[in-house]
Amino acid sequence: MKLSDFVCFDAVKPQLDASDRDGAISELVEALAAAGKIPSKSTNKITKAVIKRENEASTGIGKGVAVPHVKHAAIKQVVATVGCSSKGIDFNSLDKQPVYSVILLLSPADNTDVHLRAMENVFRNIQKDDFRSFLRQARTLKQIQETIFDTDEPEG
Amino acid sequence: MEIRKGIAVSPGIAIARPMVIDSKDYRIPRRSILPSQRAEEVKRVRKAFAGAIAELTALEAAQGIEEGKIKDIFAVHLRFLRDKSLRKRITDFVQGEWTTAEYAVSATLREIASHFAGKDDPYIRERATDFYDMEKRLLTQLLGKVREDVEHLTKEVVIVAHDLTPTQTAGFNKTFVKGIATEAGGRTSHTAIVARSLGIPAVVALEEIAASITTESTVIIDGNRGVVVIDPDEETINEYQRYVSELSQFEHRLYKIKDEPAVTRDGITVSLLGNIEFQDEAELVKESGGEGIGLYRTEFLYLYGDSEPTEQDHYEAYAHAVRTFETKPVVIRTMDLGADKYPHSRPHAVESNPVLGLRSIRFCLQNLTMFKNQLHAILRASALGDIQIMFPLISNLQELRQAKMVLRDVMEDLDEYGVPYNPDVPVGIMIETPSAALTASLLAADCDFFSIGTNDLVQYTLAVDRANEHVSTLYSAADPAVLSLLRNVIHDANKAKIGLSICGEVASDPEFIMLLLGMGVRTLSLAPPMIPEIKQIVRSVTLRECNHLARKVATMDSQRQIKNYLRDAAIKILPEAF
Repeated sequence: MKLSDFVCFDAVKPQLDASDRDGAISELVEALAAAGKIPSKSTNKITKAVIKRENEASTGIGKGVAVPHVKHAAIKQVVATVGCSSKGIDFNSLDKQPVYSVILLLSPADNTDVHLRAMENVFRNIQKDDFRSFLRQARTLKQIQETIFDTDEPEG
Repeated sequence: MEIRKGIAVSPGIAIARPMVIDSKDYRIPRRSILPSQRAEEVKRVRKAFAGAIAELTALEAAQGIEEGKIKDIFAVHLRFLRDKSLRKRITDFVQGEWTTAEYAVSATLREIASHFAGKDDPYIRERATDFYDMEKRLLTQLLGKVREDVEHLTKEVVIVAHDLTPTQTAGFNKTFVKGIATEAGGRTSHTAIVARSLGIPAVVALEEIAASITTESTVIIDGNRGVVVIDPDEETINEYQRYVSELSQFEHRLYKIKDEPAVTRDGITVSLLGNIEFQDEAELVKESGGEGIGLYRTEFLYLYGDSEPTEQDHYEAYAHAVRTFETKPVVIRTMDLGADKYPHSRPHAVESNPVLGLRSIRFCLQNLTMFKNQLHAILRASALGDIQIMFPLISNLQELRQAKMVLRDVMEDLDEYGVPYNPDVPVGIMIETPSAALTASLLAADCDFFSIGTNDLVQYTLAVDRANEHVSTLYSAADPAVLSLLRNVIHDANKAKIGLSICGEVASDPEFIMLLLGMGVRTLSLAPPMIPEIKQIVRSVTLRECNHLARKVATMDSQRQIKNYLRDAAIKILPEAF
């Protein structure tokens, strides 16, 4: 499984409008709805579920990256999107630093396997210094796309 | 009598007949004999032929063997073995060349085989295989039984092998396997660790020992001094038997203190926990006076069976340990696979540098289904007692946080189904990479305890392969570089007020105990059979002495100097242990 298999580029936000955590999450969920990846009528419920999960334990795992995620019955297929903020967002991160790259991952409630494989993939990539720093520097959709395609390439 | 020196890896003495494993592919070195021994070797050749013939006759007659071709092959082998001229050629070799029976058999049959192998006719060429097969059969008669028999032992033996896999060692029946001697391996190879936790005396790094042993040999394995004696004389046997009885008296004395607390003479309490691999070892820890489990290695769940363990398999293994210890701590280390250990069901990709590759927590974070399965079971068992979760081989903070994020996801799943677990289950990490040791203050903020795994920490710090006998002398926990990292980790853990224990080999090494206490360690987790002895040491020292010793060691500049100093100090405390 590759990142580009489940990241929806139509919903990628090279410049997030929101400057706070909940706003950013809601913006990304709405972008996915606008791209037709999730049912529009469930946008609110899904946003709430992601925020609820985030309140229990922050997914801001440090080095400027957060991976908010949730499994929800309204989601039919695993999907992710990326939002970038050049100012940085307070995600209550574990290292107390602002988050510049938000990767939102939504998975169906009844297919844990595909959720886990997507998660594995995200983990593998955010361990790479290059990936994190390119993502942080990206200002346009094209740059984000390139970063993702590059990281999907086999090592070389 | 032949005395061979190796590395002592598991204490105790065994005196028994040998069983040589994997001798089949062994290259028999040429060994000369005295003229007076020729008659004896000729007799051994005859006996081997007789044994091989009996074995083949039984095989030929056995039910279930496919008619036709295979029986024909056995019949051909039998005809050759019954042929007096072949036997004569071998006995003549012994008489004329003054070599052992093994060498004569091997040299003669290989010569015949290579003669056939050089022919143009493919039918004749194939006959070479028959001679190799006969060679193996005769060598098996001369050198000992083959591997399958390990599972059907009926009498006490010591195992002699080039090397053993952890799975092989773990499969040994303790009732009959009294000792282990291997040619490869080092102090912390996994064979050594398993042997130690099963309480089987073992000596490794013996270099080409299998060839010097015959089925008729008696072998003494001295796991205290790292010596193997082949065909000992009567005096040596008597000496060892005396030694064994003294040792058992010593052990008996230790056994008596098993219910006493591990307190230094000036009143400092030390926690002694056990390291285990298998669930039935939990009792062993309890019997030895351990106050809980400081390291439950869970890999064997994956290595034992033919398929991946189910969540229920995990649960039962953990639940058993918690029930055994009720309210006492049971620290479960999540799977530490990779490098030299892989699950049967997942053949590993070839890595050019496996100890630096995809192993342990890295493997888990890339196989989340497998990882979550285990976490699910650990959490479920956490409802039963004081279970703690420990992640191995953490090398940076991100990894720890990712692992915790996965744990958090599993908790959510359990919440959803209303399955009980302990939401405050303590989460700790192994400190076994230099990067973790150097950033211990950062890691300490994100976890509840550290357990220092000295085996890997030493290997990674000193860049020494712990199982490579050519460099294993460089491997030492007493190296100033290693001690400097230990000091750093202990300091950071105490400063952050999180738990700290040592679960590597040094925790069961009598020489290291005073130093560890002096450096500020108060919890040790070790192989169950060593608990009484280490407790005796704790009870014989004062913290003042230990602090003094640790300060002195901090000024020393070489591994050798430190090691000697620690040894001298320890001998003064407990001479019987050396």
